Amino acid sequence: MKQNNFPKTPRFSLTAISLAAALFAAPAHAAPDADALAQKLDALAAQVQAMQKEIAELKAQNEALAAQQEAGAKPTTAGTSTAASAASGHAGAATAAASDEKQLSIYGYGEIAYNHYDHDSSRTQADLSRAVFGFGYRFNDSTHFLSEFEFEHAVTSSDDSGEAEVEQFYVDHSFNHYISAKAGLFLIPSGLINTSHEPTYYYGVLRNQVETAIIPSTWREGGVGLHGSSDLGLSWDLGLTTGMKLANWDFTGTDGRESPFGAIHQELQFASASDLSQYLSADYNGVAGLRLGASVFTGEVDQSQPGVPGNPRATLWEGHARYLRGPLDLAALYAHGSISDTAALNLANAGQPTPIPEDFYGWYLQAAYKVWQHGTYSASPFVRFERYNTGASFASQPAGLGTSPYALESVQTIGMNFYLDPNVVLKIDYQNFDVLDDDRLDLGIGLTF
Amino acid sequence: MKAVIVFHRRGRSSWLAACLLAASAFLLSACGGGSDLPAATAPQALSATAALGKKIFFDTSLSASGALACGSCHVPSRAHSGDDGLAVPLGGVDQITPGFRNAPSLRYLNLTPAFFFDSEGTPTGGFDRDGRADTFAAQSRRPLLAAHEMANGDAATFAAKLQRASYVADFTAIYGAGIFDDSDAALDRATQAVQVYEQEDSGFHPYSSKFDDFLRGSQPLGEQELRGYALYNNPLKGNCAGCHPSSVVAGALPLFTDFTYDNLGVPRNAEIPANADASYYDLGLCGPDRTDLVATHQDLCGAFKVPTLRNIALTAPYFHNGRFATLKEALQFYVQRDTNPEKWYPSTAAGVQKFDDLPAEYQRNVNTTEVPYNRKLGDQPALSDAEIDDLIAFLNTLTDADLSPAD
Amino acid sequence: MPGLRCQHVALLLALATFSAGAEEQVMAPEAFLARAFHDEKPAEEVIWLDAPLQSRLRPILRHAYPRARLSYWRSGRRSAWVLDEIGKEFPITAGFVVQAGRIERANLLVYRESRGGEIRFPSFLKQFAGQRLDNGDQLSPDVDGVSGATLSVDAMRRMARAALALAAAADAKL
Repeated sequence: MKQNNFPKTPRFSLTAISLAAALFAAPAHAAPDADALAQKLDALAAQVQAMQKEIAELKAQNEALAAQQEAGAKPTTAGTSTAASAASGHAGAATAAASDEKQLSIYGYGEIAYNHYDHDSSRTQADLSRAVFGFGYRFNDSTHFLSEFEFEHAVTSSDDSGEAEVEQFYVDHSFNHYISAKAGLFLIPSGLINTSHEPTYYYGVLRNQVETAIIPSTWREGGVGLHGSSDLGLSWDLGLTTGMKLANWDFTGTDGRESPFGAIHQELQFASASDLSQYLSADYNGVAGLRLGASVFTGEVDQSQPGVPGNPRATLWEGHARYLRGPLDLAALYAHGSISDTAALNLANAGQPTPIPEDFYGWYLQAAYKVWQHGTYSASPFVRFERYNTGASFASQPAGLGTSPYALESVQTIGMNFYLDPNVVLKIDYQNFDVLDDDRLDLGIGLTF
Repeated sequence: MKAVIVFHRRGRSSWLAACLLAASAFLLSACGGGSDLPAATAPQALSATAALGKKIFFDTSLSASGALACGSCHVPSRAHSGDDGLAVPLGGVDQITPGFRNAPSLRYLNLTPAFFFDSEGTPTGGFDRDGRADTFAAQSRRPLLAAHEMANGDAATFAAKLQRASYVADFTAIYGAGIFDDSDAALDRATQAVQVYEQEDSGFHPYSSKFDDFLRGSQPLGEQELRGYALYNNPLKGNCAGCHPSSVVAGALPLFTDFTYDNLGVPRNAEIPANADASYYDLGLCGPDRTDLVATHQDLCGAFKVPTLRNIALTAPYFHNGRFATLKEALQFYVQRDTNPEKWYPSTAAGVQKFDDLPAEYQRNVNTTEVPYNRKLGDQPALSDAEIDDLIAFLNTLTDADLSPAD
Repeated sequence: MPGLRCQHVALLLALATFSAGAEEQVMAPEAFLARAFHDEKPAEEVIWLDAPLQSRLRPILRHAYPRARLSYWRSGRRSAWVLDEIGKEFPITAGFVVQAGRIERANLLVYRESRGGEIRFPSFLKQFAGQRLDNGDQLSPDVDGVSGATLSVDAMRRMARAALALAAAADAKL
């Protein structure tokens, strides 16, 4: 509004002065060159008129331009310029302008992997491991919706091994910049990968073993959570969610041996919810480049299901550290899972190949270094050393019926992420397994947008 | 200034929200309590139809000989299987005509699905050892008419006998006074009544075994029973659970059958009179009783239904042809069939005639890949004799509480 | 049954937490300007994003800045810029104060992304102070990243570079 009024004032005064000059000049010098003066005045008046016209045109042009960019800045480009609207008026307009806009955003990520096994070339395969698309919608500045829809392994039908899943589907509402709440199906804050699981975020074609076998990434539950951060660099997240269901444990299959929690999490598919779980995570980012964090997730898992004796409880805790300094990227993580009170259930399935473990754990150390960067290209070789055991101990059983702990697996991975763009990565790595016969060369392409 | 004030107010509501959520979490985590597996089914009063079915089930006057009823070959005290010890029961007009297959237990059949091929092409479900009947009712029709069983021959003959039964008023009360105008309808209703009895009477599925109580947590298994159970489940030892699942699934007590079919190559049983004819073979899914699959599913010839192992201790002799009189013998056959074939099959000058109850072209259908049949001549059997004893100890825990333990 | 009842109570309590409302403004633009100019009132100026300037911004932002003109604030040779850039899904609004070709301070004003909010922490933001553009319009020295906030960090980097480029263009016209 100010802008509309402002230009008028000087223009009006200019005209007034001209007129005044014309009026008062005439009687003061009522003299022989009155005609010449009149001519000059006429010329001046014409000039003023022309200037007025020009100014009016310029102003119209300005308005048109402004209107044009105002329109162009709106949602289709996902609101690239809320700040510009803030800047065009007063400083206070920033959030007001943003909150007026309803915004839909579309994003996605995916990866294709090729795995060549050293010892058994019949297992060599290429797979579109994931294709994920998501929609986000901002209702206003404090309330938004997020979703991700995932297709695994390219073809999904009752006769195929692919899966179609909803990976995230929740509403987030921020009360202020210290605290927000979320409700729906969301990712559990555990480890480094689970909440940042796009292929551009991690090194290697396949996610590391520890954050697959021990932390069942991509791990989500349905529920409510509160999260926030303090200015000191501490962010936290706590909540109440659906949990795991021990009745889903398959004593005859191999799932439980590959990932104990991966075998019994429910992914909000008619999830039994008579027992809910709680989680708490905290991360400290108070020193530039450093992240230190830990989380715990715990809940009873009998879900009141018949045939699950006692009050078994599943707990997963982990601690992680990451240090990003210039081209250097160091990461370390330790995760430990446990399921209590399983002796009776294991005994009721004595002799079956996959009893429920009491403890399982894993850790890894990883170092990457960005050796080269040019424009959007960059190359980061990395090494990772992992150890994990999905059955480190089992509840004690009558003599002769117990299960020995599994062998401790150790995996060494060396490889490189080559970024065509921060959001498009080509990957290569070689993995050596000490126990499993899974030594392999992996090639992959991943992208996110 | 305004922003600051607003901020404070919001700050307070946020902390209130946090407290509420924390309180919720605390409350929910305090919620608990499990639920139990289904209890053993208690006997209860039968419906009128079931009571009628029970009368038909035990009525010997409905047979040509006047001496045979369903209950004659499916004796409740033997878990509704035969108590004659014969490989095949006797029947017919004279009551000495031998049958062709061993009389199976009728217990725990109430959850059997009708015959179908699953998504992987595995034949599944159905009544009779070859699955050709879709329901109890369809199954019970055959013995009422078959010449070697109750030998009524046709519906009219059966209906005439039923009309003379002492409880015929019960029958007409349920199905109408005019039901005997149509003999086929009368036979059909009679088998329906038998089906209702078999489904309704908890005596056919009491879930009262020691093992059920073990799963319920109300009774422990003994050391030897547990050892046997572990051998039963162990995929490298007995691997019994491969076809006779023992796990609680979706809160249901196990039935010890996956309803599928398998070809074990059980030796020919000379005690079956029909086997005197060297060209006669009982090929299960391929006939001679069942005729719909022989043309299209030659790979299934010789396969018989995987039976429940509940009450297995009481249902001797074993297998479709009653070849083995004891459980020990049956189990030894499982683990020694391939390691010591000479113990089970006849030897001729050409050597041991393995799978002698199958024509040569169907012998390749025998299961030789899964544990414990994946052994070769001279290998160690998957189970030792002591382990077989452990396994038997476990199988004895599958006997329903109303039955006397095996002798 | 008692389990069921106590869950209902808990769910109601959980839902109640959504009855309050506010915004996720990290810092009000007034506060940013007040801090930037120490309560002296800066002049609001406008810079036109003409073709030469857009062609410099395009490689920095990886797109043209979608405006024909941009307001900023100036006091002597210090200028303040409020910019928007999408990290992954939604725009991040940040403010930068530039003096003599170097960033004096960077502030996060509005954060709308679902994750990567760690970029609001002073430990990250204070790294921008003293940064300038090198000959290739890259930040010198560069900032260290934040684990799990790669895209948000990247957006902040781009905005910082854009602010420096804009300030250079605006200063050239003085």
